[in-house]
Amino acid sequence: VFHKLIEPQETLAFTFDGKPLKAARGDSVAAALLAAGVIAFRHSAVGGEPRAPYCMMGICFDCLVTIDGIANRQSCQVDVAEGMVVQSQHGPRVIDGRIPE
Amino acid sequence: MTAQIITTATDLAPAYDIIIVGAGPAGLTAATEVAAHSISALVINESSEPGGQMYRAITRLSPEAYEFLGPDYWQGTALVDAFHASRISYAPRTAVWSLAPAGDAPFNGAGAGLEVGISLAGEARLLRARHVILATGAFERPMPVPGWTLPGVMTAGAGQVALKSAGLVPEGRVVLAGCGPMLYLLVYQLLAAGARISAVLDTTDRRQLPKAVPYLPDFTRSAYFWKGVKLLVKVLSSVRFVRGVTGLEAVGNGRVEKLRFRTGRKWNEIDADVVMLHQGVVPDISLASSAGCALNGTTASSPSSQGSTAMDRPRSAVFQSLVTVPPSAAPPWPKSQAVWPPWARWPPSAPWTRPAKRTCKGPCNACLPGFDAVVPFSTSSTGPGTPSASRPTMKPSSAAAKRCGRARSVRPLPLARLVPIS
Repeated sequence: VFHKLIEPQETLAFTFDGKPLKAARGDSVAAALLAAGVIAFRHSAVGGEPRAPYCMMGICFDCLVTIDGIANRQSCQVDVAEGMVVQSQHGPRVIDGRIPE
Repeated sequence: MTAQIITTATDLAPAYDIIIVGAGPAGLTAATEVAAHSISALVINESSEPGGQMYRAITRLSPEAYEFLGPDYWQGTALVDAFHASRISYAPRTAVWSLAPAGDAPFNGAGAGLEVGISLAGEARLLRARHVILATGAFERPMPVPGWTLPGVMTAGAGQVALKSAGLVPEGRVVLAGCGPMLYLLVYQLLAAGARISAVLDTTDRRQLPKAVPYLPDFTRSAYFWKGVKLLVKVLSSVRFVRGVTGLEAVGNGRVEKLRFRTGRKWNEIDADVVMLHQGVVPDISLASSAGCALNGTTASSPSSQGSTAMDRPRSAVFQSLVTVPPSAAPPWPKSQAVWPPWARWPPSAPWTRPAKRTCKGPCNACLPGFDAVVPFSTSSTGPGTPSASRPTMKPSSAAAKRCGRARSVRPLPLARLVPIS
């Protein structure tokens, strides 16, 4: 759906749902996932609908993913780091086995 | 001197004379000005790099490869360089989550100040400030047409952020829909970046054209006029351009596959892998509203006549800058209150303003306090926070927060003046 205008010289390795991916330094997680062809970033908390970035600037909260074990992270606001573990999020954030009110 | 970059919450001072929220054109201009005086100041930026949305990623992009973003974009280099060279504390990747009067505790023995709640690198802190400048800019007006939550549907601004910050060019069948200068600017930039665009569906209400005519003489003298003409000529000559679209619906199973659109009484269909929507921008007044400021469209402050809140104490003040063009970049503006583009006023009877049977997706017109008010945009040649003209008063609504989350109609705000975003 998206391609990179310039192929980066130096790449960072990270995983999304266990799949190894690469990103340029400075890419947000959202941009890196879009570049990798990821369609659905998460499934919504109430209706279970697939969602993906809408605003890319920290306003809409539709690009939420789990990053290094922490859920509800705005993937458009977090830069990819080497070795980052990113997972799609299904439903609401769960902390200590329960959904916070 | 260079700006001191703060990467952990513990490195922040407990109090500053001035905290500036936002590092876009307005925040950077304010910061550079403040740094020239002997004042302790902190700039807080949610993003990892300065420049805001307008000059996003300007410190990282090579001017050779991204020359197509245009001279207005590259003008930001001077602003960001001046900021980096200034004597100021700068906290990127930092979120502000509260802004309130600091209570009765004295601020350096000089009256109560403000309390600013921030999060940085996983740590939250409460900071004190004598003054706060909110340079929180604007975001795109959400365009909740049916199917807008499908993956593949995003705002034009999102497409522009992806282009600027990561060099992402959409491929497949790309359709842009909506109206306003930024839509045409994005088409222009995407074409220059080598994208193929299937169609631009223009929702401008042509019945508004007669109302725009009186503004035309003044507008032709503005610097935006020729830029607008250039964009329109390029867009009209390069892509399929559908005028008079009065209805939109994104359709697909798990992702957008088609965009349905209405022209006249007829519904048409176009295949789409990426849909970018745009309907102008609205100022981000969340912090000013949550702090209880009275908003008049240009500045947010607490006049002493309100009396009851601590916000109006002489030594504490909040200024909101809705200025999105730095003084150096602001072109001469005609004397009359011009509208750009004059024909871009949203038709109040547009079909997607009917109640949408879905829950709110984020901060939208209807959730924002001041929803019922006119939010004018201004360019000011005198700097952030300077009232440039009398503005309609906005009344923050206490019920605003409760409205979010249920089906409702989204009533568009009239566009008084729109600043082109490079």
